[in-house]
Amino acid sequence: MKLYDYILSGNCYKIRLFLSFLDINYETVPVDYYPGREHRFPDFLEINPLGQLPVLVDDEVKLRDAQAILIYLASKYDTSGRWYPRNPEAMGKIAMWLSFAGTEIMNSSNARLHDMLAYDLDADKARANAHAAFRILDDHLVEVGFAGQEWIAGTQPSIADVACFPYVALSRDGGIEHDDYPAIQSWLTRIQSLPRFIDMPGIHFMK
Amino acid sequence: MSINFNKYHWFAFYASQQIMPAEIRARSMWNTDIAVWREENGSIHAWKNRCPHRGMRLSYGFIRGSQLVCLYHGWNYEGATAQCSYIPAQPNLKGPKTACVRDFACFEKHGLVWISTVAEAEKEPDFSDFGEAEQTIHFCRSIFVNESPGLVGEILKTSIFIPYGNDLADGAKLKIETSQAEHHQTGANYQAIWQSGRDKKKKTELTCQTEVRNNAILVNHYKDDQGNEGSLIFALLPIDDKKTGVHVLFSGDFSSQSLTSAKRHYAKWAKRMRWSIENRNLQTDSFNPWI
Ligand SMILES: N[C@@H](CCC(=O)N[C@@H](CS)C(=O)NCC(=O)O)C(=O)O
Ligand code: FES
Repeated sequence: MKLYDYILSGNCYKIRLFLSFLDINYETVPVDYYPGREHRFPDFLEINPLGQLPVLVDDEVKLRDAQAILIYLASKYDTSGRWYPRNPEAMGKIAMWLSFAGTEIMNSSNARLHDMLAYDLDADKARANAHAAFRILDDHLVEVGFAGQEWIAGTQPSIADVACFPYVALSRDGGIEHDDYPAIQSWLTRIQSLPRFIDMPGIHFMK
Repeated sequence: MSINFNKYHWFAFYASQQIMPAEIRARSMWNTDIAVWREENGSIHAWKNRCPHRGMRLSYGFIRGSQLVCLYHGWNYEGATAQCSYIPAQPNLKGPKTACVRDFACFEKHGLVWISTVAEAEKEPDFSDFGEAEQTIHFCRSIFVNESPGLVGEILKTSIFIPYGNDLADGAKLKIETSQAEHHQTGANYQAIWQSGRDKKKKTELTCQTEVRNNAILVNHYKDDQGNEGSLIFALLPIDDKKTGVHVLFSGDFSSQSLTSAKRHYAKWAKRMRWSIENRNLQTDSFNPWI
């Protein structure tokens, strides 16, 4: 299995983190995203015409989009079935939060790209949108927490937690603090305390 | 009685249950960035959130035993003294005396961490009239409203509250029988008749009184004609002139199942309250965050 990867990418980290949770061996193909912009050149565009990381290649299967890759990996390799439970309610809820991770939470990534890599983006708008998204996630965690639910889509961690985690955890790189979101903070700590958790620059181990 | 956001007072800063041993959290109070953290043994500290070395937010760091370790260059600060005790780059040097974090008085009560940024406020506030002493006070949630503390306090002080246990289904009706004109001095003081949404014949009569205690705590005490009694409590935190924290708590007798429902009830209200304060321009006068 091959992961086209960039170390500072939160989307690539979603996959590295999940592969670690599943304890699966794989090979990384580092892509010179910055400053080389290798992902915008024809060799990489053949792999993903959108010019985005990550991409996963597993035998004949080639997939782009971190959320799609999480579904594939959980469906194929998670023998416990807990990361992507096959029941309609769980699947619907997980899809809902995977989509949230790929859209609303990406505002946090945009603010970070602006601040760290000087991308030409409206950073203030990205920050405001990210705060709106974090508020929704915090409210959700508060409310499910009343009945003892500690994870986004159920009583067990799922790929929805993996997909939402990186750009919430990395948001401070883009000037988005977590101070107003105590339920998010406790949830981040729970993820960082899971067995086989791995770090990346900007996201550290708990101990 | 008015709400008094005097800097010389204590404010409810954080929910105790949201800071576990060896955890560190932060937010502002009166524009001052404050880190609040627990030693591994559970003792709590509130410090200015700024490393004396190069100004890094201490809340980005981590806890080792009784020490807070700054994320940037790893300087260690001892919980009890707030004094630098170890510098990794100079292991043989004792931490310089001047490398000392500003610490604030803090203590825990009613599930909240209370802080004062002023040294003279060494005396703890009097909580004897906080709620019904014999009843447990339950924490619902902390919620942040993007409006000034003064405005949030005024709106909450004069708001009408519907305690948990009343039927909020569609079609429910609230009729305020009496409400005092001098509202703004005294807080809300009213009798409400609550008509159930499901069973139109069922009416509940409530007597409510909102009071300001310890300057920035609003206590709404209610009694209904079924003999239920309790309090809804909002402990306000002035964050800066554009943001206010509201810690929502309540007291009363609840089974564990109804406690969960009561938390949901008050959390739902809290979100609607936040919306109604932040979107005042979109509302009609009849907006009631409870329905
Ligand atoms: N929907 C995709 C988005 C992936 C994405 O935006 N990746 C970034 C790196 S973190 C990227 O490659 N951006 C391309 C660019 O900015 O040129 C996913 O979830 O994987
Ligand atoms: S800034 Fe804290 S150790 Fe240097």
